Amino acid sequence: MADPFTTTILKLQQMGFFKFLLPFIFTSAVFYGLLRKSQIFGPPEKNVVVNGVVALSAAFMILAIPITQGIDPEKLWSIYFVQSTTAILVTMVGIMIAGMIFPPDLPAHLAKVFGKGGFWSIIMVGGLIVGLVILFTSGMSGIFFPAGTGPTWLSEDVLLTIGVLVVLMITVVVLFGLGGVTSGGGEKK
Amino acid sequence: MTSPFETFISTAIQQGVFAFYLPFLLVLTLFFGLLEKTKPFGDNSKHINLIVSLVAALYVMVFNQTMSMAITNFFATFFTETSLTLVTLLVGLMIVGLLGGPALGGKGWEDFGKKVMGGVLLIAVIVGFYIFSSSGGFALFGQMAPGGLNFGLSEADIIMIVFLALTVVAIWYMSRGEGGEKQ
Repeated sequence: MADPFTTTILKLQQMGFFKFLLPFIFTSAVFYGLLRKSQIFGPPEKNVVVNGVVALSAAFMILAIPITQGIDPEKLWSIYFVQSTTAILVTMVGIMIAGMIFPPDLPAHLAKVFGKGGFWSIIMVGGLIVGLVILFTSGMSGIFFPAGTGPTWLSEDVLLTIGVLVVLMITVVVLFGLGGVTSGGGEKK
Repeated sequence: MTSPFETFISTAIQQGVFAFYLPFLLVLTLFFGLLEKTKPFGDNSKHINLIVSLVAALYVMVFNQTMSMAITNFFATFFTETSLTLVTLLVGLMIVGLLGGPALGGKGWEDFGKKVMGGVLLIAVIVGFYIFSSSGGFALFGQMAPGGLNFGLSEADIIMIVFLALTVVAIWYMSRGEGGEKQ
């Protein structure tokens, strides 16, 4: 006999709980929360209805995705959250290990020691890379780049070369342009 | 005769506590705690944080069913290896203290920690990554990825990406050097 959790999950799966209802709840919560925080439509307490309608409309669009696009959110989201949890756990273990040497509240301590230095840029780039890896390994990237779409007149090699050049250019611009490093003694003011 | 602990654990396994309930609880707590700390939805957003973490936890709970893969083994190995690492480190630190090193958590220890901060962080990240790898993390990610762990890329593509990353690091290093000279 199956355990109670399996029975419940199977029942919920049959009802479309994971395929339809959870993406709806998730999207409406995230959209509403971000609209409230960003205050796009003004103070949140005066725009509850506007924020709510926008969030609910977006959530209803998401509700239709499994039927209109044939995407299975249940599989994608479950993989995505498992991988995200794993990434968080690995980071947490690292902090726990480092926490044996450092004083309590390691993140606050790091902020105090490293201040605004390049350390946080490295952390941000690292976080971004981890996020991108999870996006690709979970299969979520398939939503952004569905098969059979995109600039098919360009070969894979050309696309890869363009991508490489763009990344290099962005790196140079960010590091030398925005980073405040100038050659020939011309300092930025 | 089996011990009561064995009976308890066997029953818990049979009832799906390890496969479903504990991952659910873990993810719910982790996500909620981190969302409360990072506040991506601003202040007074406890209810939104709770909904987001609840959805994440429910999806992790359904993972076993959807993917026909058990994450229980990964979590169990991961936490066992973590606790072993922490205990080993603790014993090491106790021995350091025994040999006259600074007291754990004391002022001298804090000063020492500040000096070796970068190195310790790097080692901690490497150890965390190793634990992830030896617990079967890569296998878990590889099985889930649509094109395997190499994302469907060929060897040539991967080599090119590695060289690209190296170039970016080299540019960063050079620009860092110029910045240092400027001051």
